[in-house]
Amino acid sequence: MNELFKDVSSNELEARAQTWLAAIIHSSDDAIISKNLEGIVHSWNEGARRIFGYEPEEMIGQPITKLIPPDRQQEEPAILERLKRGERVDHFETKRITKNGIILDISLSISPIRDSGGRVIGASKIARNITDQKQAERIISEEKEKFRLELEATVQERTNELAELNARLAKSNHELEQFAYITSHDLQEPLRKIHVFSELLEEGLNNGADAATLARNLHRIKTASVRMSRLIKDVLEYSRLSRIELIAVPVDLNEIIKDVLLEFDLQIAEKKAVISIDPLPAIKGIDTQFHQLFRNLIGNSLKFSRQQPCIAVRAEKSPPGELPEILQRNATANFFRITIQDNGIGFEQQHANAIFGIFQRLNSQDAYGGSGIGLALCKKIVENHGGIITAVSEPGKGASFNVFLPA
Amino acid sequence: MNKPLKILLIEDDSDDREIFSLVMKSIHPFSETDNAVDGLDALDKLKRDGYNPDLIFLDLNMPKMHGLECLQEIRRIERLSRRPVIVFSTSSNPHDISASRAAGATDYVVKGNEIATIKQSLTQVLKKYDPRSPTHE
Repeated sequence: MNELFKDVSSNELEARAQTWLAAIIHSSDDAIISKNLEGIVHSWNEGARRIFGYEPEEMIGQPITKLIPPDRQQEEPAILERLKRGERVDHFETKRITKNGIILDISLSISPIRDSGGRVIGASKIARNITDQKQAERIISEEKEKFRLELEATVQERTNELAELNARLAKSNHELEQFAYITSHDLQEPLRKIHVFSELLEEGLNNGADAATLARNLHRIKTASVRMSRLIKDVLEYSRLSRIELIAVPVDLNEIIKDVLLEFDLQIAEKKAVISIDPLPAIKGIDTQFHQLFRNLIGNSLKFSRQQPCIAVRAEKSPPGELPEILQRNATANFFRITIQDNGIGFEQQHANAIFGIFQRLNSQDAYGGSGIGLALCKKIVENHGGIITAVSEPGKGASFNVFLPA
Repeated sequence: MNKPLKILLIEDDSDDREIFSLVMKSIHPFSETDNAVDGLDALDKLKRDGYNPDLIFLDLNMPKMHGLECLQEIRRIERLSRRPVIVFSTSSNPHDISASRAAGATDYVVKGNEIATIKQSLTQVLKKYDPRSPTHE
């Protein structure tokens, strides 16, 4: 009786164990497929059906290659070779194709199935659908690359900005050095006069020189110190020009010229100067600087005249082809050319660049007064506004100053 | 007695011309200093046959013609090719000094800031280049 029960029990246990194992395979999310050594499917679980879309009867007895995309067909023989040698395949990432023709990313683990004698008779594959995971990885990788490129671009931009700033700083330093040298050199002249004439004055006082001689020496000292003071004032004005960062607004140049002519009305009347002004445009900039610019240019025309001064101020849009080379780099921008022309003493064209240097004078201090900073100021102002200034002249035939400013 | 020492000063600054005259007169009472206000004026005078300064003093930074350009022109005048021409300038820049020698200057004197210094340098120059001076080399 117990034997019977015992038999029934062990059969029952085995049946229950089998049912339990079947349930495990059935309930798995992953595809669990078994095949023989010819690659023919032997079992097909619920997971395989869900992932690949084939019903068990569509796959059992069919070659496993039905799931393999055409470009990967060589994988199956390779896998079978390894299986025959008793090797496992672990988490092999590959692609498989569903019934609907959709390519999935799959992670495969394949183990050999052995009979009781230990011979490999088939394989059990577990296929996990990792398409979503792979997609997520791809997105992260793309985002990383995007971020890296953006970062590189930002770094490059910053580097360029820094390089530009450095260049400006270097230029500024160089200008400063030049400026300091020229200034200290030019300030020596009046200082030397003050010193020497003071000595002469002293000598004169000790030797009982006459009042006229003493007065003369004293006068020389005074004029030299006035010159020095004007030089220092000009230097200050020039240095201030470089430093101020004001906001540019449209400035009506007609108003500027009107104000400038008002400043000179006494001189204009004395010299009987004839001044003709074309209608001028409005230009974006700083009104006080424009005022300085035209005051210096018109003032020069009045000063360096020998006969009745005739001054003409004209303005026209400058076509890109007619711009000086240095402006042509900025091919798209429009420029105005404002010309101040006079009939004064003029100068040799070979000096046309030099005259814009700080404290550069072509004539002696005695002939035409002035520290020589006027045109340097004009150049700085015009350059501050993104333009350039050029000069054309011939001795005795007057001078033309061309101011190019962005429209 | 001797003929007066004839000097030509080529100098655009009127103050500097006056200072030179005063100092020169005080160290050499028998000197006569003629002035040219720039290079063109100087060449005008020097090209005239009878015009023969014993010594020429030349400023560098002048309008219309730079001192060294003027010097080169002076050297082209045959009778003046070896005349003592002394550069008399505010610049102590070694570059200006060597450029002056290269252009044919006989000597180079820096304009002093004090009368005493100017007197001293001009006295030295006269010692070296005054043809009438007993210590002339």
